Amino acid sequence: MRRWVVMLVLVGAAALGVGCAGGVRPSDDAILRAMHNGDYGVARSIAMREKTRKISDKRYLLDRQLVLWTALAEGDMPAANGAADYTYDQLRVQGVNAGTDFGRFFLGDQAVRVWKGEPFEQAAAFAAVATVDGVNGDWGNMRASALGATFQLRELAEVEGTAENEVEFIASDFEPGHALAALGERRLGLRAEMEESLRALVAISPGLGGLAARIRTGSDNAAFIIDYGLGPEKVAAGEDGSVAAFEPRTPSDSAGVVVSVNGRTGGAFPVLTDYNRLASDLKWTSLEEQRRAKSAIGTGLVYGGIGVAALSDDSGAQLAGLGAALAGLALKATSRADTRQCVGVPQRTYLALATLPQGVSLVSIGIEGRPGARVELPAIEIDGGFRVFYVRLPVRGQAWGAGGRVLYANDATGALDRPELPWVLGGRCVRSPSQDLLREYRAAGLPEWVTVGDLRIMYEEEGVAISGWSAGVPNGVHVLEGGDAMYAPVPGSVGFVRLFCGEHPVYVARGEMAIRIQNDMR
Amino acid sequence: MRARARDILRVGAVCVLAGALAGGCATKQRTGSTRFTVSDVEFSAGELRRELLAAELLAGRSRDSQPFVIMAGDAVNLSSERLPEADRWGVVSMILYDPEVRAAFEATNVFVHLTPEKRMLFRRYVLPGSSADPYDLPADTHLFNVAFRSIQRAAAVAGGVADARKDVFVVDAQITDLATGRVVWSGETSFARQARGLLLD
Repeated sequence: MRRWVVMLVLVGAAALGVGCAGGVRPSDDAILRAMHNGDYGVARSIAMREKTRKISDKRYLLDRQLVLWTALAEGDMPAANGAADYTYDQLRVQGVNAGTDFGRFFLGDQAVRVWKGEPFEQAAAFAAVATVDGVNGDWGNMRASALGATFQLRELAEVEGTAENEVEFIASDFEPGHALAALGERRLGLRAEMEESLRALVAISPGLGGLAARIRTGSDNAAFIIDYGLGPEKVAAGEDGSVAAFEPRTPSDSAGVVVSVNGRTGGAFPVLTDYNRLASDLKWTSLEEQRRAKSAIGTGLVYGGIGVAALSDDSGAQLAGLGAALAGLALKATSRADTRQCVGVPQRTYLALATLPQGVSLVSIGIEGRPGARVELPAIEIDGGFRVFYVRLPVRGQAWGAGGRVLYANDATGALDRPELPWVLGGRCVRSPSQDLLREYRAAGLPEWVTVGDLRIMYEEEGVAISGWSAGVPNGVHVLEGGDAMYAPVPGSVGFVRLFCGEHPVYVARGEMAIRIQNDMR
Repeated sequence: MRARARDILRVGAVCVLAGALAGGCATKQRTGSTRFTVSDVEFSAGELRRELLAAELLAGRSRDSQPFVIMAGDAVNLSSERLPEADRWGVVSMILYDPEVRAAFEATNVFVHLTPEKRMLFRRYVLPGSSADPYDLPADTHLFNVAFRSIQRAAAVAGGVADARKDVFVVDAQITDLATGRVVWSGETSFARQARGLLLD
């Protein structure tokens, strides 16, 4: 009878012991869906709203990385800048989790002080920061952030003459780090450093020789950093779920990206990096060996303990066996891989260079063999200098992607070719009200008595937060898409195209001021 | 029998407690960063300011000298560290707008202008002694630039793991005569920052 009680206790404990690690949250699922469809405003809004405020939460930094990815995809630079600053500062602190190996062995990933993400997620975040700096035209910071992405990696190496492994530190093979550093070095005139970065890039991937040559010549005046797809899903696999495995959400392939300028098609650029590949490379992930060891030790303790408890007639030995088995279960339970991840990481990255005419151009970007992964970018302006644009191609093709024409006056590109009224009053303008703008609105039919203050009241009554007016960065969905925020993504971003190059339903005003103005205009 | 069970439980409890404690203190935490800090901005600006005030450039001048119009130009980051624009411009402004430097400039007929881009940023504010038109200013005669450079070293400690990092930052400033292209003053300061621990961790 006592043996059966012991067995039941063990089975119950085992049932309780599994399934403790955090995974993808419902909000992450919503963000993934939005990223798939190119609804980056929705993704950014959820990421900003749902990010944990608890600094002790292991998701804290991952959540800021997610804001960075989604804001960058949307082209919302004020939000991206803040997230980039924080992410860089945190990732640059060395040894935050040094000395936690023993704790992690017993307690799992809960023992880390700050969860920075898997090494490949950290490198990707550095590359995202470099991209933000590039879009801002800050070549020095772009280079520095890209160099940050090329940190040393740990790899298990065979010890010569024995079957043992030892940890070896090796150079990074993260292509975007070297490519973006070289791009920054070219702009800064650091020739020797650029040659070093390009040598490293081509050594990692000889197929990128053509890209390296174009960076070296420096004859282009625009760079497009293009991300595509959803990064791999982190799942707990193997015995006790002790292995953090990554399964592709978007399959890998070698299709190049083609950039066309004002209808003229250029050559294809190869994939710069594939995050599915990085995630399947053990040196770009962490802790697997430790978890496997824990799981194996735990299994041994459980079986050994059960054996002693079930077979022995001595009550003391039974208790000792029970204790060993429970310790084994505890080890097995905490060996389960933590599946927290940053769902903003893309599946792949391209770097494309182009020579654009001075002034405004229409640039088309598409992946070979994937008709849905294409977008027309109007309002790409070159004014003598070098520009970097970031394009996060949606996986699912959208009608707005083919628009190619700015349909709404906005703060990024200004007026249309005719005076327009505010959108909430039936026009096509979503700019922040100002005295200058008031003149245009009056030319479009706004009553003379309306002041900037009245327009401000009107937006407040409609519940619309305007970027630059309200404190902080509005984190809502754009009012054009049924949300409560008015901001202007940077030209060249997919957010700009989705918001200002596609038609949106007519707004129905609710507030007293808007209705009063509309009645006066009739 | 009960006493034996209690003993086993006690030993188990001690083991669990020891394991939990060991997780926190088995190895001394090695953490840090070689990031440029606010005190580095203040230190760099202070050193360069002293060099400028002692420069021959100002020594031979008076209120009646031909005016120098210095444009506060680039604060360029050539280092391997990401430096916020505020920190870069912090060094520039803490040199050029320091009260002591302003007094020395006033006594030697030297004026300071912002770049046209920065003037545009402030165009809505008519600063004392300036015009509402950001371009309505005397022509610049000199250019003030600051550059940030760094040399990064990774060091291996016992055990062969390269987990120590040292960054030597060099901040240099110069004033260039726009008519001749000649550098009429330059100053330089450097300092090192080091930290232990792997970036990966």
